[in-house]
Amino acid sequence: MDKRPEDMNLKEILVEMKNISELIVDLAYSSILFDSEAMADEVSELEETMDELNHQLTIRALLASRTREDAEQISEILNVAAAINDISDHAQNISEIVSRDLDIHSVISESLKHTDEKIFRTQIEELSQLIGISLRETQFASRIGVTIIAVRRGKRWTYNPRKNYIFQKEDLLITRGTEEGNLILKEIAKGRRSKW
Amino acid sequence: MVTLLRELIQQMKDTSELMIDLSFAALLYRDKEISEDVLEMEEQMDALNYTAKMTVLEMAHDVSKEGLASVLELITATENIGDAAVRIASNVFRGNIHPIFKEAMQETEDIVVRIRITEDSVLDDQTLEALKLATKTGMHVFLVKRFREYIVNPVKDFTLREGDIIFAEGPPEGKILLESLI
Repeated sequence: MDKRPEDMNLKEILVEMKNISELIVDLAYSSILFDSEAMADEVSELEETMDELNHQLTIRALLASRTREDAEQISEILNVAAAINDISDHAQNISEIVSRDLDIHSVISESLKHTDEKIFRTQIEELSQLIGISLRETQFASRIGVTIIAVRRGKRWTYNPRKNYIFQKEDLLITRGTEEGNLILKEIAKGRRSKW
Repeated sequence: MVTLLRELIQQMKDTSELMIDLSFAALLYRDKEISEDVLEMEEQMDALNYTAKMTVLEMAHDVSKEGLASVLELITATENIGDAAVRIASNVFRGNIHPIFKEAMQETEDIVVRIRITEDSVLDDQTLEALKLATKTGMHVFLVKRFREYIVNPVKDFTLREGDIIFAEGPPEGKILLESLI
């Protein structure tokens, strides 16, 4: 996200909401799997962003409606946006299980460990070889079997970063892949490994 | 019993994520069939929800109340995500899509196709591994519908049969390649 919700147009808001809904469920489940409050916090922040986006969308959608046909199509947008917003609410309910620090029954985390591919959260540190190179150059998908599904830079999120996305120090990467692949990524991000 | 519950939760999670993906695809392509698939998956979710909760309750005397509450909450939230997907998909029945909406939904690069395997299709009676669809067309089969059952992320030695409906995801060029194979 390069803009704040209040500066975005209707289309940009919808794209952003759809992207968040696809990411937030993964993150919520992962927060339980790793018993990670940091990930649960990401979910909460995304949920807040979603609320603000939904609010801005409602205002823009109402302003855009002039004829009856407009109104019918706009009502569909509002319906879908409300459902997308609900998805993020439910995702937050899932991650709150972690935030509340309840005794998480092992069944939950065990059930999620089953999948081969997992979601990881990795921050790029000062000495990492990733700084200044593009996603294309990393060839992570083919070399270590890891896909970057989102990057958080400061408060801004980029979903499905493009191939020419250039990494910077302190970027927070949300990745999907095998455990081995993600461990390699962690070493690279920490600057402990320079070839992959 | 723990193993059963684990499998149920895993299946609910996979199904809910799939329902979100499919509901957006249904909306974008105004595809009533995909939309109906989402509705049918919701029925499957209801059944999973019930079985999972019953299984949790049967474990009641072996685990802490907090643990039980957490698992029940997880199950309910997952079920609710499926319901939200249904609400997205049911908009397909309401008429024309707003142009802005269509543009927004198209921002993703990958597309979803839904193909029925016919008797004379080259895909009939082949395993996914033998077909190498991902290599040949760039399309990844993530779901197969056989009768009323949905098979999520089918394994490599899964054999396709006449009447199966496959759901594949990939670049737009892949769709054309895949359709030319059938």
